[in-house]
Amino acid sequence: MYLWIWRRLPVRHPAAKAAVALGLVLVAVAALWFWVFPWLETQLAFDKSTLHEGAP
Amino acid sequence: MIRGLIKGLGELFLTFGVAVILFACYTLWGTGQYTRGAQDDLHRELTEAWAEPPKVTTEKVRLGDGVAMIRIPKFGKKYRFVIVEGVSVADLRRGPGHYPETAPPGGLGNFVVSGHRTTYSAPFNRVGELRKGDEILIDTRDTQYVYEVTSLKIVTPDRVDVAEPVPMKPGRKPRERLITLTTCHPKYSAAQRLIVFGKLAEKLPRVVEQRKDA
Repeated sequence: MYLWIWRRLPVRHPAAKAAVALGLVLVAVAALWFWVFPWLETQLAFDKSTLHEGAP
Repeated sequence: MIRGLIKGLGELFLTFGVAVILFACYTLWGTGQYTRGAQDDLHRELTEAWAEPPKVTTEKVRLGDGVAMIRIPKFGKKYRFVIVEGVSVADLRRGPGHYPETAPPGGLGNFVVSGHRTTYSAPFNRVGELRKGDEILIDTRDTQYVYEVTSLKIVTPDRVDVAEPVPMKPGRKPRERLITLTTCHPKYSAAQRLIVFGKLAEKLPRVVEQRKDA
């Protein structure tokens, strides 16, 4: 999978290719950190401290 | 073909593993960073508001605004959190939250505060260590309310009656000034709630340098 992505990066020079790959990784991490994880954390709710009628 | 499939699956599992580690970092450290920033803002806003002369108003504290400050001497001098008004997900991300329908700080009845135990700076991480007689200090504009812990209880999350004006006695008229802290139990689980009960022991004028803060 990663080799497949590496081969399809739109640059030829190895250093430029590594920079583009690093950029992609950073974009993926930022998406996880700022959107996916805050949403996931509310869904999992393993630190829920409030009381609710009808709660399990 | 099969080798390629196994390799692809291996890469997927590796990616999933890295994402799980990253998620653990987010919940245990990243959320705390968010709360620390929010607490700094709330503390600044509250101290600025308290420095101004009090306004005569019938307005309630707005949801999400700072309502008081909690200190627990047993947890050290540095332990201090601004309590926000409200207990929504967004409110509790900023700090411990006051149930708006319950008594105000120092008020007759039950002042109920909820807080995270493991994430978002974990303000109530150590409340399980509290014992009968330990102090919980609540600072407001002019007054420091000194509550003393009376008991701890572990309940199911549907026991909303712990937040009644007289805890676990719905409909009874309050005669005491109580405090109730609620948090998740056990740590990293939402299966139960740890409840700390306390009652007002002393009421002191609040001074900028706290008489009781350690």
